[in-house]
Amino acid sequence: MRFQRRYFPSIMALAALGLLAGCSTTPTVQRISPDQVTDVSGYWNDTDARLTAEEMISQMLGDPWLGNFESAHGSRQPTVIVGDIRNISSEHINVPTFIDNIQRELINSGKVQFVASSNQRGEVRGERQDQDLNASEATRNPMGQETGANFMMQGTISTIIDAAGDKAVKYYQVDLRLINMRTNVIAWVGQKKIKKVVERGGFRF
Amino acid sequence: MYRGACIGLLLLAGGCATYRGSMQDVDMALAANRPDAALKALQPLSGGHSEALYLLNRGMILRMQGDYADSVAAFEGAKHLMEYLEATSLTETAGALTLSENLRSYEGALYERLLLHVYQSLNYLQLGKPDAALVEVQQIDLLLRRLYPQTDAAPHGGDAFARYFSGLVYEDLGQWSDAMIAYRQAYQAYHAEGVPDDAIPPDLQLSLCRFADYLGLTQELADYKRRFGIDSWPPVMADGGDPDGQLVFIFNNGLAPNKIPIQSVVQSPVNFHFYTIALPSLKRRVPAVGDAVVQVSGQDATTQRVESIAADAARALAAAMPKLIADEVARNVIREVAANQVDKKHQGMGAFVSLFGALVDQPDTRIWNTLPDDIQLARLRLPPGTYNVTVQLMGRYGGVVTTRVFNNVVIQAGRMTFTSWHWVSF
Repeated sequence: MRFQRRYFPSIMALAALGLLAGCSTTPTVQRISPDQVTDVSGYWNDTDARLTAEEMISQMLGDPWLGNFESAHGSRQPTVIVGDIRNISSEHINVPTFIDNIQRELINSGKVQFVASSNQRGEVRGERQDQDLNASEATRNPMGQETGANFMMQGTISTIIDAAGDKAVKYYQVDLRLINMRTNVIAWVGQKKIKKVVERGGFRF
Repeated sequence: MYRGACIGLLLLAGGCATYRGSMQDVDMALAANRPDAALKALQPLSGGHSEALYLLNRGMILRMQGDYADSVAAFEGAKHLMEYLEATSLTETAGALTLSENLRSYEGALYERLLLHVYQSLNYLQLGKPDAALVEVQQIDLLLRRLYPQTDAAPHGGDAFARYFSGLVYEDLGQWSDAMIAYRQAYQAYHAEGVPDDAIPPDLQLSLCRFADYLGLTQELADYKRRFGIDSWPPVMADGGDPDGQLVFIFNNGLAPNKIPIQSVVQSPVNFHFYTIALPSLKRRVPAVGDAVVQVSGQDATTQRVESIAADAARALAAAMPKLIADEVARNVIREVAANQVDKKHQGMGAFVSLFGALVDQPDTRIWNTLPDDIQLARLRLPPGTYNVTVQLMGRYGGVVTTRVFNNVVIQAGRMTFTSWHWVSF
């Protein structure tokens, strides 16, 4: 009996410590504001996307290209088409969602309008073709009435990462540009830089 | 009371033993080239310390059945988990040093982590997402730079094909300086693995010459020409000027080696305590297929071996062995101390304590064994168009093992089309 009391607990404690690692716990969920900064892994996240979108919108609406276009075209809104926004970074970034955020804010500002991108318009054109055959005369939308874009938005998301061991410095650069569809002149360039220092913990439970 | 606890611990630790049993069912299904059955057999292995390995195997089997989108999801899960597991676990280390290596979470060897990115990149290419494939290639470079900032290279090999494949992705996207750097790193990695110049994959030899020529690296080009004995290559044409496209066919041959336990329990004639040596060993599964012949539009090309995963696994295990032995010694010492303490109070009972420890102490035989035994590659230049590509698998000792036709393979000017096949045969 003394054996059980004196030695068994210490052996079992060591063994149980190891086996504890296999135990799982119930996840806890907490709802928070979408604007709250939440950095978990150090990767590109919703906060980076939001900060970049806000900066780009502010630059785009505040820079002279907009006034120049309006004065040359009798206060008409410029029309923009989203072209190739390439993610050439070292992380998988949801580019379409990020661009949709920018697009939404610009459309809602009433100062810029967008036309469907090459990926989106295929379905619309198919439907219009279908209307040509099947819709009534009064409701039919004819072909050849699309609005041509004045500018194409292109851009890149890139990263420069300096990492060694548990520490990494991450530098993200997002570049967007508007290219005049008629002249190929680059009318506007926006840029947002984000730098983060990420340190991983060397231990876990 | 403690008898019950002992049985409980044995059962918990013994849970790891079921891993090999379930993987045997997976192996049998794959040997019959039935990935659907293999996925079902794999399912019970989800969760616990081997979750990362489960996701790696799942991703690979989904690739085999052409489900690239689900394979992406599985591999992405494995990638994040393996990165998290880089941090040392205090509980797992305590468990591994007292009971068994199987109580550590499966983190994967470096060559496995590199191949995870390679196959994820290939998934994206086969889904028509070259930019996402590029992200994976950047992560290969980042992983090596982060872990080995002095050399940017894997110290025990396994990075040669990852670099070579990176070069292909950069080349496809027209990033030719980056392609040259990656091809050069691949060449250096093959050298570091002891591969002589005449055994460097001929396609890599050609790529090194092509891009050294295009980028005006005169001295480097002269060196490659001398080493490889090559004096002509298809020129690199800038700004979309290449009228042809390229077909890159990747053949995944067989299955990677299994790990088997090498275990020996001895009893001391002096104090009757038990001591264990429990270590893993590799058992290669030599594929029945030697190489593949790719035939398309009157051209044919034989695949060349670009990576031996059997060799990677052997090097990784050899590198890990000193630590495995040290941990085994530590477990024996801890068990001996505990047994001696028990013997001081109850002479003879220490033998039971050491026997219990010896039974629980099983070697860690986990390995990503749904990887192929070796990876082979063939590249053909073709005019733009839609082709039916015939692939014949040639037996190691001659004869055609099987044939498959890949229908409607689209080749675009200036771009690469990646096609792959994983065939299991013993």
